Amino acid sequence: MASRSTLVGLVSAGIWQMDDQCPLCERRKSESSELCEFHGAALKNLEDMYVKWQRGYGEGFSKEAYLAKLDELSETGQAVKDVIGFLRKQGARN
Amino acid sequence: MPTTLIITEKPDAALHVAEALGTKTTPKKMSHGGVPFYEVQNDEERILVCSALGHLYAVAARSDEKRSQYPVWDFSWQPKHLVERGQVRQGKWIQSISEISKEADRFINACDLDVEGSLIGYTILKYACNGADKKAQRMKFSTLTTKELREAYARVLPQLDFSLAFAGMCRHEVDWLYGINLSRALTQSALKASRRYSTLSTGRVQGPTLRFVVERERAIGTFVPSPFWMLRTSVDVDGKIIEAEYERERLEARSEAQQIIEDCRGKKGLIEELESRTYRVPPPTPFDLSALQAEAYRHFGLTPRVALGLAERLYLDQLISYPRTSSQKLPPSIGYEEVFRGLSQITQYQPFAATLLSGTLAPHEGSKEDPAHPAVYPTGAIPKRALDAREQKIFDLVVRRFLATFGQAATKQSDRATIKVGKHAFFLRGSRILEKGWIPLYGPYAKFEEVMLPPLKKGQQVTIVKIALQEKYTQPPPRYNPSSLLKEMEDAEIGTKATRADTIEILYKRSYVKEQRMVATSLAFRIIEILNKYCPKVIDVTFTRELETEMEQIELGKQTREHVVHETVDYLKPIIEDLKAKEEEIGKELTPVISGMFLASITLFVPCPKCGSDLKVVKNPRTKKRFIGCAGKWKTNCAFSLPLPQFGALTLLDRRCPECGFQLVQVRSKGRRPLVSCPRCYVNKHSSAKAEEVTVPPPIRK
Repeated sequence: MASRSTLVGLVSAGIWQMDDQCPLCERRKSESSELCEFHGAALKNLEDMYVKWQRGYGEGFSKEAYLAKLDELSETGQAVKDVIGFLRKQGARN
Repeated sequence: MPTTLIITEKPDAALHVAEALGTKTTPKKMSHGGVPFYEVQNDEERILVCSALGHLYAVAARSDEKRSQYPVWDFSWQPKHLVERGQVRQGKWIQSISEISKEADRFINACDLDVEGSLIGYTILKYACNGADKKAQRMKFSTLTTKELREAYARVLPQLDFSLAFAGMCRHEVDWLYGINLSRALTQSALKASRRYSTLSTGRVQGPTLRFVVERERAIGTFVPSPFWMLRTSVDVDGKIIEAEYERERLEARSEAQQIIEDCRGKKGLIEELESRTYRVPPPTPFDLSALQAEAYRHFGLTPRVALGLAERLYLDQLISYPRTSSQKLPPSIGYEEVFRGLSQITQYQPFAATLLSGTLAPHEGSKEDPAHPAVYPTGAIPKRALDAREQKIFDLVVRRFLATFGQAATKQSDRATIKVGKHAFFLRGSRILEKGWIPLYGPYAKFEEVMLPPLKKGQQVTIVKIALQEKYTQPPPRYNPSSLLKEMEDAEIGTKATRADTIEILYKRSYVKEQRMVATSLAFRIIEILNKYCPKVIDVTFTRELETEMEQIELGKQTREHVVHETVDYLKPIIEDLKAKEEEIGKELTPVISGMFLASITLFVPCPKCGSDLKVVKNPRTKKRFIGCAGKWKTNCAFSLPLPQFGALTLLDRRCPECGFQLVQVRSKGRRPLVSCPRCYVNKHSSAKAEEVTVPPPIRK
């Protein structure tokens, strides 16, 4: 069995993950989401703002283009970029 | 001949007081156990003037419990050198003041006139001068000029300002109760869970302040920009090309913006309306401390703490009044004319001072008041020594601001022409200064841009010569800098003018924030998350403000120190006991962050030049020597290593060596300047024939 300090190192290095841990950071998942509160807030903002981008570029503006554009912009928050990466990974897996 | 002992806050102030009060003799510098003091005489008495070294006494746990023990509720005021590390001089100071006080028949507290100054004097008189606080008197002054010091001595208050001193005591005690218990709870929780010691702290003001930074960081981290479009338009007015603005600054749909371009490109428009507005721009108000700190940051990039330090230096040099003030008032009692006459002796201020002296002197005051001091103003004294560049900047800023507050209001005119192109409207905007008023007095610190419009007539025809689309995105909220955070603290009414800058410095010291544009670290996030989860009130601004109000009531004599301290203990007790019970849980939450920060502190950002794996700072378990080793040793059998200096605290810097591009390291040893070196260059150069080119000395080897 690994010692406690080894486990701490593995968790910190992102090699080993606890069941209730946010997949994007070392925080715990919030009760109603598979992300922590911080990344959950980023996801919510991401979902809410899509309408504004559709208004800006027209109804045909796809979600993929939306995520790609946000990923490029320096104004986009880091947590939002983490979530974009996560969504893409999930999309690729499905 | 009776002897009077006067206690000042700092050694320089002691000299000025002695110089001002010695009407019969010049100050004689004496020393007791290496502690300097001055002796002078006037017609009636012998005066001894000695100084404190800031606080000589501090709150500490009454019992001899371990430093890690908590909760701690039982405290007393004790000599600082006995309870805090590195305070040896304070011990000598107490002993000397105690000895000198035996010669005195009369005692006067002449420390700075604020909560801290009153407390410093009170504790020295009470504990070092054998209970002299009961019979001691208080000198009130805002500048260290001879005139004001003599007046203050002639009008000395018959007793100490106890309410101010007790308010200060209460603040120290309450802050100590918060700080010691909460910080130890966090530190011990982390230590027990991770077995790695790291100082974690929070406090009554520190917690809510850190929360501001973390909330801002959270807003930036979760920010999703949205697009908008602006139209860059130029119009031809009688052959002159001028930039125009579309009637709506931001357009949220690209198609709409494109349609406007279609409608207006190359079209002619008519000037439909011409508007002009004249308005007065009043002079700025005199400097209170936070306004001075904000301007010093804006114009010179000086942090609030540095600006305060420089201002205090100028105060001790008799050049400006006491800077720790919240007042925006300049009462006539400061002697306007005398100050202006003094300033007119300094070449660069001479013309301005002379002009103002020829008129009526009435400053444009702000609303904020401070019962103890006026706003910051120059005394009119000429610098006796060459000021360094930063001192000169602050001095110039204070003088210019003082001059400007006595100036006339400026008058500005703003013009707007509305151009109609079909159903669309564009604006041409201009602005100009009609009467300069106070603007030249404030010199380089007053910035106004003038935009002149050519003569325009209603019904005049103009041509849209250029109209282009500009795609933009909404911006995240800006990060705090030390100055804007200080302003936020002031607006939220937490902390005091004397302590806010120090609170911000602690955030850096604890690795809660980094960089000038304050970035909250993962540790800061975790600390706030934990406090929010287990004791949200501790970081609640409203609660902290209520406590501030109670302490202000003590200053006014409407509340007692004992009541506020008891209330604090009653409030904190269940919280701390709860935190202690949840130590393990809290420790688990802190551990990954602390370990992550530890890993980051030992991992270099440059990869191994041989195998590309991470490079880490490693300690040989047998010899205890540290060096840079390749983390790929177990995978690729890479044996790349570099030596490191063996003494002092090592930090990996976010900077590269200008010569070889390797990551630089810094070693900090007590009492020495930090040594920055490149581990790679050292090896390369030391082993080559060009050893004399080594600029960083190699570590000393036994």
